[in-house]
Amino acid sequence: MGAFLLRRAVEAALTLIGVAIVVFVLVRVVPGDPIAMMISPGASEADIQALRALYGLDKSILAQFFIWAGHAVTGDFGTSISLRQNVVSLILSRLPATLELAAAATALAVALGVVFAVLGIMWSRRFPEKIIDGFNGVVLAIPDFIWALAFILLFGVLFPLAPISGRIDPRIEFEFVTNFYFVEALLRGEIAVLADLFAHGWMPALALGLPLAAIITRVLKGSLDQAMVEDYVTMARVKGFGRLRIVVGEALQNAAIPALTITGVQFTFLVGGTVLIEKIFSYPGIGNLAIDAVINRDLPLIQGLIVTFAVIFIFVNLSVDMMYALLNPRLRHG
Amino acid sequence: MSNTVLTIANLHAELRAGRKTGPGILRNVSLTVHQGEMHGLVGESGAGKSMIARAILGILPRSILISDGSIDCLGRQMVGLADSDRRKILGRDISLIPQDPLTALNPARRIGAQMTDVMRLHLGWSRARAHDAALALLNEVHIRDAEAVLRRYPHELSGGMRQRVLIATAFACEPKLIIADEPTTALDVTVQKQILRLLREMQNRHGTAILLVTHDLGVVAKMCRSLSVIHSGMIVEQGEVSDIVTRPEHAFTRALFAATPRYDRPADALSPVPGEVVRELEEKAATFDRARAGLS
Amino acid sequence: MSVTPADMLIEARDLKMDFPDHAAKSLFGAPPRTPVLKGINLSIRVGESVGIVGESGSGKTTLGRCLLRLHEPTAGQLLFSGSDYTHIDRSALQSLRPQMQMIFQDPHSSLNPRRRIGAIVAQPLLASGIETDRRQAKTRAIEALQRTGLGEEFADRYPHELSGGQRQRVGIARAIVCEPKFILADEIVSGLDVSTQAQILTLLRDLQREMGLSLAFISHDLSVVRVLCDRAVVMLQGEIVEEGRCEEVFDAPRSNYTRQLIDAVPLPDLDDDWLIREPEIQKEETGMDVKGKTVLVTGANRGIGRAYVEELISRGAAKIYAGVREVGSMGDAGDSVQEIKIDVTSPADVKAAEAACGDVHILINNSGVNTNDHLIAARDAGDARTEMETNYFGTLEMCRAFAPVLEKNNPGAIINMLSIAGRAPIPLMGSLSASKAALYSLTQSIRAELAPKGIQVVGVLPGAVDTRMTENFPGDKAAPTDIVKAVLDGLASGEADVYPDGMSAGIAAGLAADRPATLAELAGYV
Repeated sequence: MGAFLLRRAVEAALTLIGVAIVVFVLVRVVPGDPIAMMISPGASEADIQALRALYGLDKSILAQFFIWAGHAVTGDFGTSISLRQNVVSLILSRLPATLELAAAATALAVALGVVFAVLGIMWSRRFPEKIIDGFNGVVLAIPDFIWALAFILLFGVLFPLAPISGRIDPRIEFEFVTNFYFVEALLRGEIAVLADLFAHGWMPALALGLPLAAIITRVLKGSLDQAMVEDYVTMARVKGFGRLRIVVGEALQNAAIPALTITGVQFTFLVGGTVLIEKIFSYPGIGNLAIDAVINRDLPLIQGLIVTFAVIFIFVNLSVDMMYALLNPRLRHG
Repeated sequence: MSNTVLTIANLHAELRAGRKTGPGILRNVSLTVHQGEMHGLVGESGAGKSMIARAILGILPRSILISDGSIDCLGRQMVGLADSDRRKILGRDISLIPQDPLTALNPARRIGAQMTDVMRLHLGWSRARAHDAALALLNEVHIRDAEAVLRRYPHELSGGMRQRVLIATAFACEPKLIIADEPTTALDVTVQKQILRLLREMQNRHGTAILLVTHDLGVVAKMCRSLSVIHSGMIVEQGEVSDIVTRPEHAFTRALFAATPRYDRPADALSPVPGEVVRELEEKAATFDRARAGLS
Repeated sequence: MSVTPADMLIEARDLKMDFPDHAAKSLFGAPPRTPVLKGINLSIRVGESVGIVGESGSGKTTLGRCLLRLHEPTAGQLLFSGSDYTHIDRSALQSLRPQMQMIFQDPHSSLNPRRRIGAIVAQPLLASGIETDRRQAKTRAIEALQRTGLGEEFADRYPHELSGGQRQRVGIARAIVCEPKFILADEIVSGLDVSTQAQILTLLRDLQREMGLSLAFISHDLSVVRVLCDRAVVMLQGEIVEEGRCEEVFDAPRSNYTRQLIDAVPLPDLDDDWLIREPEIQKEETGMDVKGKTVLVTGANRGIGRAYVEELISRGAAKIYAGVREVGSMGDAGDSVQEIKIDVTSPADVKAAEAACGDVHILINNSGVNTNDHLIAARDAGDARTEMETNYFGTLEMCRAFAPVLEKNNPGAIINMLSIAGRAPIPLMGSLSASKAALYSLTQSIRAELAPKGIQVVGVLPGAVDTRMTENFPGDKAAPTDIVKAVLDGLASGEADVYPDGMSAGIAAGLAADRPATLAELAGYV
């Protein structure tokens, strides 16, 4: 176990370094001058140069990289050019919102995906299965931002049901200690706050989660189908167990592994999706922040955000691998 | 007779083929197993012996249909039995010892769970009581360290041990009939003998009737009291092992014995099954099918 | 029948094969290697069929693959018609391949489902360059198919259109199309019905005789091997435990394992006792040669102990730990001798020796004290206590400490120096007799305890060698070198008790013939 974690830690470090290098270079190669975005039109050349030197943009790319990397390993990612705040604290303040959103979307996706996959198998070769397959196919084809826009149209404009922007009603008087609003409200038993958070969050979470749910259903149903013809399922039938008990109790754990692989891969798209969804719903997370950073060519912030996303992906991959070991006893003993 | 545990009478099964009757899979099969007896069902692959086992358990593939005949097990008619009623019998009054001990156990569940679930389902026992019963069963099948084995996963046990676990599970609810489907085919020959010995021991102790499905004439000769020989879905010869092994009557049975290699006989003692014998049986099967198609 | 080199087609000499065990690999370094073949000697003559029999894990499949050079052996030699092909490179192997072909177990997976039968059978001809013209190759392929009983029409079919038996025939056709000298068949009838199996076996036997092929037939099924093969080789855990002509091996097996295998096969006859019957286990011949072994001798600096050291060196022992009470008392005994301080009555010494000498195969408990004194008439019991402490308890502690070491370095042996006085008490040497008698009993007990662990236990009962007493005893007084030679010979032939000199042998004979008389006679020697 120790060796496994050590190896993964080394791989993670190498990945981060690679990501940092690639992003660093890309962002500087792309046209667009951050300084130009910041200054007023009539500024003098001297002022421009001074500003450039302030942000270290007058040095070579290599020198800039080592300076940045040197600070980065101590946890200093510099100052945002456009927002003039410390990058790390900026990201940390917004990260919890995105994490909660992504977690909610994933939970939704898994719940819906598993339920419909199991139902599909229960009704295998009967008419309802075709309905599930058809519905699934439609959902698969619709990208997350279309869902987002559709929800806004339907439940925000046509039949106003819920708020369509922000994370929480600004009129709510509640002092949060952390930025994990949902978790904190839950732990502190604030029902009213929870209800408001839920009202704001269900549409973005659903928009993000539905595409993943459809994929999970498709893949899980396929692997359940394969598991159901295995000998141990026949044994369970011969022991006298009913269909639902067999699908959930015998087949599901074995079928989960191939589904888990795909889910792990698709999850990265979900995290990427937060960027657009947060923008659409004006949700104050790092996705929203990222779009603004790119538009403003805010180099330090962009770099900090990319590294953050990379860390999230590494963490997710690690969790998926550990889940394999949990689900497949053969892997536990090496 | 009151001491019969299984009576199959004139069982017919065919492949579904739309409106018409497809090729026959089981052709007028009849066989009886008495209480506490071990009956051998011998045949080659595709002869129909596995289909009989599946028909008894009610797990025939969807493509195969029982068109006639009856399977009476302990007074209940198994053909056409409702699913909910069937599930009360399977695992409790009839159980299965499968062929491949590796694939028959769920790799993601511990041995203990796979042994106790059937007891808790049919006998309503608590987790603790079922656990103790599982320990006792493992001792019966001579597995040492039973407590540790219950906590293990299937891949951590050897093939022989897995088969012992499956045998123990088959006896868990004290069934009246056990179908042993080629239980030793996947095992080494020395392990096979141990498992066969164990099977006999368990049978004597619990008084269970066993239908032993196999392709191995040697196993039947050593283990069973009565046997049925099957080819092309038809029972070719049936009777007491002591009679058939010493004086097989049907040409096919005789040919099977002659085609079985023996380590104590020289090379030229082996003769393949003559083509005419097989052709004759296939003709008979074809005639049978035509007659049935004519009937329906 | 004498074997000329021209007869020998394939020879394996001391073939060893290990595989790396990646599951047991630690973070750094190479993974540990598991030995699968542990020194196989096998020869297959021209035109001979050899059956390789074993259960799972015996190494039979690996052996087959090594013979075909599908694996490169870790050690040993492979010879084809006298020339060494153990480590030849790929291009040299290419020219050898057409002469050695293989038929596989699974007729489903060994035929490419996307190719027609004709192409499958023709492939070896084209791939090896024997045939460059496609049409010629196809003609030859069809001929090969016809030899296996499949007509020309089969050439255009696909594997899925054929039955299992037909597919196996295709596998055979593919193997013979290059007119090889040697064919390896790995469990080729295991998945087949009895009737199909009989056909394939008959076919293979006829083809083998017609074409003068050598055949290595791997199978777990003894009966199939008897039907097909001239000779049989029985494998267990990477070693050959028995070989010979089929009639010999199956009708009169010599090895316990072969007996077990034979007993486990159910023949199609009536036999009520078969289930409960156990095979007859015959006592295996054990015996150990000291060559290449590591030996620990206690009391090694003089007398019999010294003689042991010298004799062991001359018999080629790899390493000798000379246990001595005083460091330096060995002097210069040679490169293979390492002095080690052991006072067998000191638990610390024994423990240190156990830790330092973890590679010992043979333990010779030679240190002992002889105080020639009566038991009752002695002044006090102090000497008797010392004698018991050294001779009995010292040896016991050494045996207890080294038994795990010997078990690990299996096979191992313990040699306890007793005395004939242990069996026939001599009152004048009462306490010696008593302590040696206790040691004799100890030796018998631990022999039973250690036999299942592969450790041989030898008790040596010399007569008087001590010069002080020789005047009073008749018979030849044995020299230490003679004693030691007799012991090591006894070890090699697996003896349990060794009477290494004339006097002790005579007394032993007397005890066997007329115990009371012999004892009385000995008691008279005061």
